[in-house]
Amino acid sequence: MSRLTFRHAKNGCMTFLMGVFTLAVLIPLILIFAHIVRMGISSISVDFFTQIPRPTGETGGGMANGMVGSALLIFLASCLGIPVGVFGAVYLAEYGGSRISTVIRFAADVLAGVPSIITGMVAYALLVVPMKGFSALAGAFALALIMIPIVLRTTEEQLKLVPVTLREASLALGVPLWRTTLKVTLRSALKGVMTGVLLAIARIAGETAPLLFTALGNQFWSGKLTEPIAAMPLQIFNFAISPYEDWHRLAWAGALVLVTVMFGLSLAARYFGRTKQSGL
Amino acid sequence: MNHKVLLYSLNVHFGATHAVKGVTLAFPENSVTAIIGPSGCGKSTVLRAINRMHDLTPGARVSGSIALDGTNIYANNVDPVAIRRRIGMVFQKPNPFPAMSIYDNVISGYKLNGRIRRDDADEVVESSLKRVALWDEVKDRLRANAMELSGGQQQRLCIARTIAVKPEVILMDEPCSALDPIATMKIEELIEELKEKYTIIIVTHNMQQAARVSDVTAFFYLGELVECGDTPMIFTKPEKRQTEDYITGRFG
Ligand SMILES: Nc1ncnc2c1ncn2[C@@H]1O[C@H](COP(=O)(O)OP(=O)(O)O)[C@@H](O)[C@H]1O
Ligand SMILES: [Mg+2]
Repeated sequence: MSRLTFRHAKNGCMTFLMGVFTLAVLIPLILIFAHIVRMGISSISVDFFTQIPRPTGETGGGMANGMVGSALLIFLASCLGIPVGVFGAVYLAEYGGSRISTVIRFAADVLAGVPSIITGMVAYALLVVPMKGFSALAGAFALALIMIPIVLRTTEEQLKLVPVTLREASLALGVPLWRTTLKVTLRSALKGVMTGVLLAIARIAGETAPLLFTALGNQFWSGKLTEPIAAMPLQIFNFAISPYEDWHRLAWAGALVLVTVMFGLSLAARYFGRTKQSGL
Repeated sequence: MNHKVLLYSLNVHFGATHAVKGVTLAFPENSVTAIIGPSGCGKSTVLRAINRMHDLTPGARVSGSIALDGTNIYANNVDPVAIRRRIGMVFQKPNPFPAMSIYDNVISGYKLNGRIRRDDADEVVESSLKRVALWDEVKDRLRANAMELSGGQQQRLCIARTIAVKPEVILMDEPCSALDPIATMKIEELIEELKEKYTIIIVTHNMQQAARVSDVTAFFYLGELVECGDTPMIFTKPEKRQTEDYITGRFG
């Protein structure tokens, strides 16, 4: 009897503790989001999405160039990061098992752990210095370096989940291995791969450090990929540390837009991750 | 009768495991050969050697030779992909392509390899499905997903997909072990019909099935071929003691 009471008490205690910890996880997220909404919502306007920043002293203006710049950087980074990540993963999952694949896997894990400011420095040394100038290309390269390990590892995990029997069915029909890999294995893992890609995009959308000495930022529209280009996180950073009240407001609005986009991307990634594998 | 496939001192190793030990065995053309034996005796391993499926298993080593119409399929200048087009395979668990319709599954051997003309496709789908006696059951829902079919229908679909690419030999690895008795019966009837056009090699752990469907039976034990002969002989007057013990259910 007393033991049962004790057990009930223990159970109650633990349930309460778990509730507290759940809240501890949720509260910071809610606080951050609520704060950003409160500070940023009043500055969201049509101008914010269509105008570029005004010169200091003038009020108004927006972050249109930053948004377009970020979209372009993400697009360029994806053009490099997604194929390298996906095909690297295909190599590991389908043709790996050798020493090379161990090395690649290790390199990807190390790359994933490198502080993003270092990634920016590498892109600076490899592209900015030889090309004698900051550029969108250098920024996209730095972001791609961050994407690759994320896409590679999630894709590899997804490919491993595709049943061997499916591959064998295709091979036994006289389909070459490379076609089987593309049309059966990768096709079956497509939704999982999408999840990895979306998470990688969400991750690089907010990266600031690797852009500091690559894309640099730009107060205006940039005309060429070899010129410095504006990006949301950079603009938020620059405006937030400026002494002008009006720029602070723009920074908050930018933060709100960025967080909302990332939230959307994470939701989409969850959606793809949750629904059953497309092929299965 | 001609020998379509001939194994000659075939050995298969997986790392340190010697799974198939010096097997020499002939498979007659246009007939059904059953491979029987207790589980783990190397039946699947022998079967998979015949369409070079081990090529993709790291650590697997095949030695000796396998002749298809007198040509060694393990010779250096032979393309395994071309061999697999001539030697099709049906697996233990029905494995239609889950992202494809019934129609596309039948022509998957063509689609995965490139393109197929629409008229040709229709024709291949109809004739293949008729051959496996599935046409009447699915002709009104060819565009439905293949996973909507029952297990037995899925397995017949897999056989249809295999014969659609016009192989000469069909390997079957316990094709009925995941099916109910009625579906099993249908597949067995089908095998009976298919042997007119194809050389069939079927692995089974079901001795009644071997007795019912096969012309020749090979009994394997611990990676070795113990005995091979006409099915009625093997089941009534086996030469080896081990075969008799296995067939009468004393072990296995
Ligand atoms: N891919 C593999 N890797 C290592 N060992 C294997 C592999 N496939 C089969 N074997 C081994 O080879 C032997 C024969 O297996 P198998 O041919 O599947 O037997 P059966 O089909 O007669 O039940 C078993 O000892 C099994 O453990
Ligand atoms: Mg087996």
